[in-house]
Amino acid sequence: MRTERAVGEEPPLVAVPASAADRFGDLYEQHCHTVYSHCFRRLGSWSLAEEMTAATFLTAWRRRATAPPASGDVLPWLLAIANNMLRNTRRAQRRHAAALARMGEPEAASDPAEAVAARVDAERQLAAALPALGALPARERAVIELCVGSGLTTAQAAAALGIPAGTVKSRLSRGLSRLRQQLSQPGTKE
Amino acid sequence: MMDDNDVFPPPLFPPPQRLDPVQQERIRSALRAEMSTVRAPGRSRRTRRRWQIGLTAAAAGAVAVAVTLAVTVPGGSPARPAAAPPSAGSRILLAAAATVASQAPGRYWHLYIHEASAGIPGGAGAVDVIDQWTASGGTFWTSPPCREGTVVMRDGGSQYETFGLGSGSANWTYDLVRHWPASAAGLRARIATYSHSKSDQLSALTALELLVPAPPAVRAAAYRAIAAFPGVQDRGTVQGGQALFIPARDGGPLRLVIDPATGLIHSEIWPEASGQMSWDVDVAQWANQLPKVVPDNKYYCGQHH
Repeated sequence: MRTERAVGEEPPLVAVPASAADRFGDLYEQHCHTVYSHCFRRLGSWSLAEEMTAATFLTAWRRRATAPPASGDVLPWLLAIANNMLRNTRRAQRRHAAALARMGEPEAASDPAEAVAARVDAERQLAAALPALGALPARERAVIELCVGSGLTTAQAAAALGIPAGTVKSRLSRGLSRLRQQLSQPGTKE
Repeated sequence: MMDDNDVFPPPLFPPPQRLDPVQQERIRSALRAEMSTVRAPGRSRRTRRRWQIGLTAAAAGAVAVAVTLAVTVPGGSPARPAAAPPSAGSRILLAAAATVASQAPGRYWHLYIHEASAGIPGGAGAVDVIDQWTASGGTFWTSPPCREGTVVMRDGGSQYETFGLGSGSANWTYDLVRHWPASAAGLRARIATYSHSKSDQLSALTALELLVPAPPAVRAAAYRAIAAFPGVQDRGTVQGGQALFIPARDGGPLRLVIDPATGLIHSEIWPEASGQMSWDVDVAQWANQLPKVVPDNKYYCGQHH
């Protein structure tokens, strides 16, 4: 599938000014946690979420020529790339195999006790939500993940998904309604 | 938006997660390594150091994202009419233009491409398969890796599904490009409204032959516009057609293999940061029927393997 191909959109091969790398570095620092959260919500796996976060930013760097100029549009742009990575994690892993290999094996967290406790809580919470989310149509789930999970506005989610804002609203409304039904059914609620 | 989340007790999603500093640095290192592969000699060390300085600046919240400006090749401009007679390479492109001008569009633009991120087609590097049907409005179907011989409809997705150029560009669809100029100069000028980079424009023109479902007149204009690029070289007959070199980027020429008799680009090789990106094209043609469409119930296929 074309979703990640970047050839036509690749930036010209030129010497990258230091300022470009600096700016992209800033972009990473500002948005890495949100992209990571987004990936975790989709995958339920910390290690895979980390890899997909890396893949997202590696792809974003390659596609930096398509980065939107307005800072408010950057997160939707990044999450759109992340969604493309998440559609096929194995392909994303292959595409960035060399870079991911350089990351090496996951190391211990810097604050193991605290981190492990937080991770366990998050995993438990996500495990409770995933069955209901998984029962939603993909299009509604995508909108809910972006708007409710990542806190994007309707307009930002519309930009990330490439659909009209009105469609985001209607899918959000339908999806949330469906979720309420799912979660209120016996056996589906934690 | 967050009000909606509040209606679920307990909240639907876990609170936003933060990358552990160790993880954050691991990804940062991978990015630095990637960035260093496209830097001109002598600059990488300085850049690396500066990004480290930039980390503290980021904490202050000042983030500018005009990356595009920093990496765009200057000097791109709409095509000028060629004064000299076309070169042998350009004549091949003009022949391809004549071919595609007579090809009627169908309902779906079907692509089947082997994409390799490094090395020549079939050579070293990861290879992905793109198997995609795109309708005029941009709706597209792909064959899921877990269910061969079928397709699923993909909904929305992003602006990357066919092609987009410039900041925040919408996906280029048949409906978008159908009324674009049918002259080479006019088309080049239209594309220049998206990007002034000559390399971007060449990418866009080849995308109109391959990635973007485009009407015959626009495809023909795109081939003629490529033919007007200075320095198009005919590199002889190879498997699949005629090999052409077109000066594209500092890293080397765009290498195309074109069959002027079918108008199909069989191969595209773009100079890349750390090697090249190549596409081996099996299919790029109109189809009137889709393979069996199956529902996309599973959010992503890989989790069931």
